[in-house]
Amino acid sequence: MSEISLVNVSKLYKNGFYAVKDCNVTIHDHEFFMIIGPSGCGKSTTLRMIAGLEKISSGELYIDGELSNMLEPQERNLAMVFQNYALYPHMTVFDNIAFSLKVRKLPKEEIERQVMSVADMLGISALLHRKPTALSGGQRQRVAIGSAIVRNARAFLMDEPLSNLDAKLRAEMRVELSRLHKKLNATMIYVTHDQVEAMTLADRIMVMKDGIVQQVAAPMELYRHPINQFVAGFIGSPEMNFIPVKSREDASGFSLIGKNLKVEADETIESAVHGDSHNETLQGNYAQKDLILGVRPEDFIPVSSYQAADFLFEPAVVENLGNDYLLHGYMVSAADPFGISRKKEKMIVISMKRNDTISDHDRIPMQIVTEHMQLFDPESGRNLLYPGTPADPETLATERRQA
Amino acid sequence: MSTLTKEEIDHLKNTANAKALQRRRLKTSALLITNVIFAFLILLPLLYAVSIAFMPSGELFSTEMNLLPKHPTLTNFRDALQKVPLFRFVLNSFIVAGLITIGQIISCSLAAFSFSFLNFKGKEVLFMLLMATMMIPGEATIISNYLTVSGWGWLDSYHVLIIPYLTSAMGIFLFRQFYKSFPISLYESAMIDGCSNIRFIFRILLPLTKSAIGAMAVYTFINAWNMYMWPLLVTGSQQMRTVQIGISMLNSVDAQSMTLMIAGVVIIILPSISIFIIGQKQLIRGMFSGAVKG
Ligand SMILES: Nc1ncnc2c1ncn2[C@@H]1O[C@H](COP(=O)(O)OP(=O)(O)O)[C@@H](O)[C@H]1O
Ligand SMILES: [Mg+2]
Repeated sequence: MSEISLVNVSKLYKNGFYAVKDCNVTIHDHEFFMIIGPSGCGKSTTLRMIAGLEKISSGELYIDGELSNMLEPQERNLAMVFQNYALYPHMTVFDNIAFSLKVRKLPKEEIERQVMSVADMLGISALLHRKPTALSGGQRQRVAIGSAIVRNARAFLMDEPLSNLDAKLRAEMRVELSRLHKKLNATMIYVTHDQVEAMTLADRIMVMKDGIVQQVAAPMELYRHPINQFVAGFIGSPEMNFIPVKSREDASGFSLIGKNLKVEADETIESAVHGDSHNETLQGNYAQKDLILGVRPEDFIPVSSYQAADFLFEPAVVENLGNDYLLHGYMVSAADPFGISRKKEKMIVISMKRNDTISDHDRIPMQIVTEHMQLFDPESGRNLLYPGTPADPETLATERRQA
Repeated sequence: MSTLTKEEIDHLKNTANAKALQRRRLKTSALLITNVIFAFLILLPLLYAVSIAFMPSGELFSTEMNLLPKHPTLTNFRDALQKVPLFRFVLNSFIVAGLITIGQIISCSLAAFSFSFLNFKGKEVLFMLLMATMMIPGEATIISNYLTVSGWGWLDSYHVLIIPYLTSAMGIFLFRQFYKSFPISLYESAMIDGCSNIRFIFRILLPLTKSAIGAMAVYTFINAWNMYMWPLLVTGSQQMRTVQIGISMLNSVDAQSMTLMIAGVVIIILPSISIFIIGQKQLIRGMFSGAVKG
């Protein structure tokens, strides 16, 4: 198995368009590595460059420490599952799975043995003599995965393999893939635009936007410490709430003030805003400036008194998800509990457990869990509370290039 | 207001059904009759030729209207076969057209493969050049081609009939069009699986474009079968004549017989018609294979 490194890898198309720009990442041995981002952000291009289907415009690709830019796809010993499955329609399931082994001229019994074992693993032994057209979507998907894993490839690449399946099958295959990864103990690079897939399967996730890598981190790390507003908004469903605020310092201490909201801030936040946090690279003074407060839907706690509340929540729509609720509604200032709520404002989303009983016309005093909230610079979008190296991937890349 | 009994309702239903059925039958037969009339009109010259081939030569030139032979005879066929070696001509044509077809299928599909699946410098320019050659009429190059092959001493042989036609720009163009609807991910998948280009062509591309190949084969074969100018120019002996030339030899000044000639024509169109009938399913499927996603 193997380690794959991309160093300043870029893809420039003939029309002058950068599909991928200065991608720097190392995918470790045995890792389930996800590439995620909105449609058109360069995920497939990155994967195809690794596979050798797309030429690398600049930068270096190392597979197991060997510079591989110029290797043909045949020479890289990788396996790939395509979004549309790419099964050979004139061959039976057996021959489809056996194809890469036959190309390698393995002895017949060996081929048979390996195909059988893979078919067994994927539960498609009964289908081996059918043609792909006689299979359902889920079965085709399994065959496609089977043809990839039958061979002892250095890494398995998958480009949105589940996106053509319906929701139920997708959930099923997710579990299957997770099991398969553990069993094969293989390096997997998996492209998706579905953040649920990424969160549930990945060891690490790389988030991309417009061809630029935003952040590479473990799922919970991305969830709790997004590097910027884009990552914060992209990861997590329903989306993180973004509330415009200003920082203010007065006799009562340091706080964040929104139109209908007042949050007492602790030292971490205060120091981040003042620019002298433990993180030296975070420069600039954000006192008295506009900021964006990011709070995930589950990071609100209903409280009993108006005094303890950061704001009052007026639910407008209740979505019942079975185990929990999603409440969509407006914020009302806790200082003016009977004031008129501004219906023109953007609604916020709060998720509640089943046993938090609420009614849909009350105004509920709410508190924000300060330890989980994020603060973003409205211009650059970077997260002031991000622990570690600074947010801007472009400066990062430049620095690395100069080094 | 009277109510209907169950039987009455059934009866009404049945008559309505019967009427609908009758109407549909009427429609179908009207369509069929129209088609037969048109088919007959279009086939008339051919049918008339067949009919003439069976007439004694005296019967043709009369003032009466005679579409069908009054005294059908086979002498025309016998005479035609005796006068010129028709079977040899047919054999020659089969050899020439067959080898040209095989050659074109192989060379055109390989060339079209590189134009559609491979990336190399100057691919577009090269393809444009290739297409440009289609603009040059064959008549413009036939003399220089003749001088070339005669310089090589190739005249009056099979290879002079076959080799110049082993590839065609049109064939490459058609194959490329067929390949355009071929899902590229199959090629990419094969590459990643470690498959070579040659193996891909023979194991995956050709089996999956069988109908295109069938269509091309029929088209090429008929074109090669019907070649006239070039064989006329480069062959001299009876041994090397193809049918199209050979049949005109029946039209000699000293023994002109319409019925004899037409009997010869009827003999030689049999192979090309049968090829067409055998291949027509492929031909039609191939022609429209790009039209809808299968
Ligand atoms: N041959 C090409 N020429 C120019 N632009 C291209 C080409 N192929 C893809 N692109 C562009 O590159 C970007 C990234 O594509 P892709 O990697 O397929 O995105 P995705 O993240 O959805 O997989 C897209 O905006 C696409 O329009
Ligand atoms: Mg894609």
